Amino acid sequence: MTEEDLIAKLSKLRTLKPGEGFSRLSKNAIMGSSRRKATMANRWNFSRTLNYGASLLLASLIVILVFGRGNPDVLVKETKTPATGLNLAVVNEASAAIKDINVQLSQAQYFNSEVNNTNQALGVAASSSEETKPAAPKTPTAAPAPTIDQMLNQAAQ
Amino acid sequence: MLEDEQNLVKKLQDGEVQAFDPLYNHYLPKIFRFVLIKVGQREEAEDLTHQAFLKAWQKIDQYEPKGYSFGSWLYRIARNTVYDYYRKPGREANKVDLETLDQISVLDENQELALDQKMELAEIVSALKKIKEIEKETLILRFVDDLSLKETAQVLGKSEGAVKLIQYRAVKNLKKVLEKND
Repeated sequence: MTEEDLIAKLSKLRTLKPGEGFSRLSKNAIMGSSRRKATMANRWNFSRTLNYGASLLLASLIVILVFGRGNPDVLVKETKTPATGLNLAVVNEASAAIKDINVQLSQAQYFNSEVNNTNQALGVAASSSEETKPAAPKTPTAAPAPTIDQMLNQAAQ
Repeated sequence: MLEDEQNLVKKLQDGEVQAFDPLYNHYLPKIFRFVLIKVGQREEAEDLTHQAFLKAWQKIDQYEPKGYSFGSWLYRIARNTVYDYYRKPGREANKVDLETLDQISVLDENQELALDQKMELAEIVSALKKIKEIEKETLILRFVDDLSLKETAQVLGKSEGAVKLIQYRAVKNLKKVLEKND
C-alpha cells in the first residue's frame, strides 16, 4: 500500500457528516444562548452604570468631608491630637473664654487699683480726722501736782 | 479556510450575530468529524461538537487573529473539550465498533452508504484506534480535514517540524496496521 492509497482511504472519512437535525438544533441553541448573553451583557452594563454612579457619589462625599470643612491643615491638627479628645470648636470656645477672662481680669485689676487709690486717699483722710477728733476724757487716777503758778496764786490768796 | 473569514469573525465580535451562520456551516462538518473519529460515538460526538461551538461563541471576544486562524482556534477548543470529557472518571475513548458505524452512516441523511463503503470506513476507523492519539489527530487534520501543516501545528501546539515527523510516523504505523489486517 502506497502513501497515496492510504491518504485516499483516509479521505473517505469525509463522508462522515452530522445530521441536519442536529446541525439546526445545535445552531439554534447557540444563537439562543447568545441572546441570553446579550441580555446579561445589558444587565451588566446597567449595573456598571449604577456602580459608576455610586462611586461618583462616594467620591463627592469624601471631597465634601475633606475640603468642605475649610483649611485642611485644621483637619490635620485635629487628627494629630485625637488622644486629647478635644473638639476644635470646644478649643476655640475655651480660647475665646480665656480672652474674655483676661480682659475681665485686666479690668478688675484696673478697678482694684482705682479702689486702692481711693482707699488710700480715704485712709489718709481718716487718720487726719482721727487726729482732730477730741480726746476722750481721762479718768483721774491721782491729783496732779500743782504748778508753780498755782502755788503762787494760792499763796497770794 | 473560509473566504472572508477574518471579516466574519470581526463582525461576530462586534455583535453581528448573523456572521456566526456561515462560520458555523463551514466548520461544523469538520469539527464534528474530528470529534467523532476521536470519540467514536455519535451522541457523544454531537454533544461535544455542540459544546465546542458554544464555547467558541461565548469566548469569541478572546480570539485574536495574531497568526492564528479562526479554524485552528476552533479545533483547539474542540480538542480540549474532548480531553476534558475523558478526564471525567468512567469514560473511555475510542469505543468504535460496527454498530456505531451504522449510526455514523445514518448521520449523512442525504447519502446512502453501501455496505462495502461502511466496511471500508469501519476498517479505517478501527486501524486508527491502534495508533497513538497524536498520530491519529495529525492524520485526521492533515488528510481528512485538509488543514495545512501550519494550521495542524497550531491546533496540536507543536512546531511544523514536529508535525512533519509525527505525520511520517503516523502514515508508517497506520499502513502497518492496515497491511496486517489484510
